[in-house]
Amino acid sequence: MKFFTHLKWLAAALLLAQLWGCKKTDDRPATDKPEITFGTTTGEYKVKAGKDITLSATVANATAPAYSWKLDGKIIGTDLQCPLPRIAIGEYFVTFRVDAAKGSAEEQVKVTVVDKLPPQITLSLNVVAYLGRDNRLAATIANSDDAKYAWRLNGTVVSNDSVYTINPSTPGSNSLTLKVWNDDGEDLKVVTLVVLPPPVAELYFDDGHYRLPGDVSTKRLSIPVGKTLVLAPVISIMPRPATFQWTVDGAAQPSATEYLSFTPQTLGTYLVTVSAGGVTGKVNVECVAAEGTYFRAQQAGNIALATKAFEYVPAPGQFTSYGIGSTAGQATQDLQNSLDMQITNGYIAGLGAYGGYYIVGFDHSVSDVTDAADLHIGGNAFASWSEPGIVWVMQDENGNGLPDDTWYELKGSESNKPETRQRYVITYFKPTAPAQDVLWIDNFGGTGSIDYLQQFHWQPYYFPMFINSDSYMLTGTCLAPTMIHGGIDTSPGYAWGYVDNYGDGSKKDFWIEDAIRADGKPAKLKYIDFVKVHTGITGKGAAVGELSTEAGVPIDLNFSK
Amino acid sequence: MKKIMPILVCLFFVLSCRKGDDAAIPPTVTPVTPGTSGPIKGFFLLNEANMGSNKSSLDYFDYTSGAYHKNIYPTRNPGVVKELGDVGNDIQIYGSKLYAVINVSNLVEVMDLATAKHIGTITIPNCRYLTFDKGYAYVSSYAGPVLIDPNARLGYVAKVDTATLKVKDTCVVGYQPEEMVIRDNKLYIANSGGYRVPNYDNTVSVIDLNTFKETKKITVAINLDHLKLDGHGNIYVTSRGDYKTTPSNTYILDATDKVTDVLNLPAGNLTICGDSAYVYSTEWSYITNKNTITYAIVNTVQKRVVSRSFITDGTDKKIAIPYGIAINPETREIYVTDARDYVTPGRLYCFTPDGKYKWDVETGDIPAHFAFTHVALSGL
Repeated sequence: MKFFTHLKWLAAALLLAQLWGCKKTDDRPATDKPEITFGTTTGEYKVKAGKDITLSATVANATAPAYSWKLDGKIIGTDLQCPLPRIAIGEYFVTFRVDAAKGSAEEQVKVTVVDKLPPQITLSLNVVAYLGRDNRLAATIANSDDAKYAWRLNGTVVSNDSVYTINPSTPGSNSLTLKVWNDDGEDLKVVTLVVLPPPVAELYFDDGHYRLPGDVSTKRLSIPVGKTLVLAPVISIMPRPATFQWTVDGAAQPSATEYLSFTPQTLGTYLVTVSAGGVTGKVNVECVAAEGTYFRAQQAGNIALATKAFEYVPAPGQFTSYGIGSTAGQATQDLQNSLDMQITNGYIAGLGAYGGYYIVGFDHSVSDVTDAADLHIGGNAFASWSEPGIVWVMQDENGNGLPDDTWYELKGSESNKPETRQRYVITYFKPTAPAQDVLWIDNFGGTGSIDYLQQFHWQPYYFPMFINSDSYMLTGTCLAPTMIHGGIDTSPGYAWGYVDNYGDGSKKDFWIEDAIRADGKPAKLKYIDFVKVHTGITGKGAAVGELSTEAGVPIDLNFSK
Repeated sequence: MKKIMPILVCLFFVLSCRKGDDAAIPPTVTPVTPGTSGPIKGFFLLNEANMGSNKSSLDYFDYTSGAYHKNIYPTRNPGVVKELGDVGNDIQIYGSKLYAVINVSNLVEVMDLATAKHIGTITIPNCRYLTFDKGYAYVSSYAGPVLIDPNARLGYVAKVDTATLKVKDTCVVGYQPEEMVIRDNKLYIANSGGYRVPNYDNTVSVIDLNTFKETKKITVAINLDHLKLDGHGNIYVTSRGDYKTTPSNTYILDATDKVTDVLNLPAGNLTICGDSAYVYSTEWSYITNKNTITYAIVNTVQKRVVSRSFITDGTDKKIAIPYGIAINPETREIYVTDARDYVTPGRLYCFTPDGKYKWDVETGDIPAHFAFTHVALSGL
């Protein structure tokens, strides 16, 4: 079945995503010494009094080796395998030695003989299962010989096996308990089992606003006549297709890649579709009047700061506080109130975790001044703690005063790096009760959570509850995390081009000439009218919860006073 | 999002110097014994106080006058509004400065040794113990928030320049690391893993001080706490056990980093003087819901328990919860503190070298950590 292929692919991607995280370098010098590894994953052996156990070692880098195992000064074995003699209950440290042609080595391994050896469960606290399919749940059990199992879902026993397979039919949170026992005792773990709708393979076009799953409506992009729009779909929960098929108003296009360069010659609306792997996405592209037609020159009474709030949709986070009964309109009004205060040295919105955003507009068009910075957007970064936000800009191409045209990303120092992911999507799931972590999945099948930090922020929901759905999707560009967890958590920034980022000073502020098309080539915008900023990174600090961008108000740097 | 809470606390200390003073509480001075003279002029006793109470305090015993000064910090530092802070966990002297680790305030308070006046703070989250070597202070940190969490993160050791009080480097070690010793240019640190209960850490990490990188972990036992160096190149390691079926125990690591002895001796804390390790244990059990209190002396040459008491006149029956222990290295007098009920003032007991009661006095809440000084505290 196609789905199971996807599942295997998801698992691989998930593993890759985890490996791709923190790397440790191994600084051990090359040596002629033999290398010893013991046959226990925990660094020690535990055995019940009266039972037999064999200590084992593997040795590398040893020619003509001789082995010995020593306990309390007496040799108890001379092979790689050493049956433990009967010894009393207690803690012992057995030394294994290798004498080889080029050198010798000794390592100790701990052996504990106990009176009783009950089983021990390791099970993660939040378990996810998908609706309408088999989910196989298992735990790692230590000392599981002769153990018995009982899984309970919301109080009812559902399995007596070491593995529990569940095919849930209702979404939501459940209480899952696993009890494992043997003659020596038992262990019990209670976890939350969250049932989520299964992620679905999709190709769709991002219009800069949040998206609800299952939304199959056709979004809208625009392009002034005489210019080229480069289209690229968001690829979600499917392996990257090798080829794509594009049509415009039904006519096949020559491009077989994820990009389509579209240069309409006449005004009007065109239906563009892209298909791959049996999935199709579509978007309406409106070809509008030539660039400049709706340019708004600066007039008396205008100000340099952005003046109008169009949308404020934070991602979940410890500073996001829109509870039940709140509305999207209230959030936008909160942003408008911040703009009205005309703060230039603070921030106007906390965007929450990855993808949270605001959209604001100016009372005049902001021109691109060649070889000069055009926009200033403040934040609250300092050295060793940056939470970079990505800046997008838009011209009012159709002249209707609304940000419903085409967004162009302003490139930054990380733009062409392989670790930077464009058209990256996180789906956040609405909690089913107050004080819960917010779970998320991304378009690669990765999962994570925004932790509820009871001791710091106790508003009942970190998720913006005005979202009228069980989940919502935030799309944008995601930078590779720089967060260093060694020592004090630091989040060093990137060289240039991001909001709330402690840059290296090489380039300051934002330049309209950095606007790029979806394929990374310059968009050559002469002016812009709207700005969108979204949090461009994922990651948690140990003591501080998730990274989230705080963005100030965009300011026209070339405004004539 | 940035660390709002710890930064606010930190700013509070930095900016507090200019605040006007309400009258700071003066110390309570109690003459407890005739004055004596000698190279050791006094000792500081750091009282932990209960977590969340912000009542950590500093006492001083002056040998010359034989008087005990309870709570000396406020009058010497009237500008520090929050006084010492929350949970004093360690106190050490290095050069001309006195360092107090204030665990839940996430900082090390640095004072002038001669006056106990505030010099500066070193901000380190969830800091626990410190040790010194070649101009650097090494501070252990749990790193994460004060929270039981099965996924609690690894801790680290911060390397601090004692001239500038700036953190120069950090080295990640095991989970919830505690006390450290330095031997042969290597730093050893006990990893407790206490927040990850019941999956405690069970290792001692070893850091090469040339590279300040962790070179290995030695498996010893769960929930490790104290490390003490004896005069024979051995390190004593204590485990708190799991408070249920795995008891507290004491281990010896030799100069080749091997565990050579399992003493089968529960230990809450110990101090080594000459060839004797003085040990007490206040061992809690969730099974019996009681504490079992024991005292012992280990001969560090023979590496075995040679006595089951070092208080020899029955005074130990008066001590409800032994919490801190120290031996005056010159006189060999024995000091044991009693935390009592943890929420009211404790007591400090002084004994002769052969364990007979000399004097006792009231201290701050949860008296715990000692530092003997060769510099008489001024302004008494």
